Amino acid sequence: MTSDCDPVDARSIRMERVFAASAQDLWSALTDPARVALWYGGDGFANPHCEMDVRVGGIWSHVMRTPDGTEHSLRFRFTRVEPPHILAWQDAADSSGPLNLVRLEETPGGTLLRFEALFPSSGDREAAEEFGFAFILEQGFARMAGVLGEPENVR
Amino acid sequence: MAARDQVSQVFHALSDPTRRHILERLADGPLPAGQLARAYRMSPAAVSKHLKVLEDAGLIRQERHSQWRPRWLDAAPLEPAAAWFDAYRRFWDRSFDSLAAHLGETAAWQPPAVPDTTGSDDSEMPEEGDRQ
Repeated sequence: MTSDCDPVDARSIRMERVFAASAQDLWSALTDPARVALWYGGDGFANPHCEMDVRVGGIWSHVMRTPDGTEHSLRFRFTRVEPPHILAWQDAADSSGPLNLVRLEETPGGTLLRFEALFPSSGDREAAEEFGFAFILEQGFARMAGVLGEPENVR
Repeated sequence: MAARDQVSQVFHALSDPTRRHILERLADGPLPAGQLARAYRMSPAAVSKHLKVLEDAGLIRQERHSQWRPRWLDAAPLEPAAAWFDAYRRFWDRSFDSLAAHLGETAAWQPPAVPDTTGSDDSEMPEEGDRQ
């Protein structure tokens, strides 16, 4: 069999980064719209609009411009806000889209940032509940098609 | 469109632990349905339903000519799903690079670079912030 994709882990992404910055500074960089606009998307991306209501249920409204000049409207809802350690959000309109979770942990040399994106499902009850997304378990995957394959059109 | 639908179907197929377990077992080689079903505390009909979902997603196929008609894993449909994840991962990888730069850190998560002893004179390099 040839597969570069573990079926079990195919629906989640986990990344870790260590920063010298304090958790408080990282939290500010992740939740202050003026600062988020400076880094979101990476090199070559611009963020002409970023508005964040950083509280559970609050909306993150964002316009991102890709290097080719295309603008994309993004609208997320915060689902966990525990400064300066836990921030989680999901597409505001599509509750079957990925759950994004950032955890910040103080380490001796700085701060460990752990990022996780997980596609929810009925088989992930514990994980979803940990994310604070119990309600999405009622939702099917019907609307996932709107996200998959066309991440640039997420609204 | 078709590709997007298939990615959606693949994620749906992968959303169930029993179905993921079936795929894991088939990754070791083809098995007939009866043998697959014996591992689960559910009716053969329930297992059949799971197999149908996996078949619809194109993740398993059935050998029609062999007498024991084994199911085997076809990993090809996982590729568009993996590609989507790869794009998402790269998006955040780039974003975290920029976040580090924004914080005044250059590649803090990477092991220290090996000093360049060939002596390239890159005068465009910005000053390090080495104020006392």
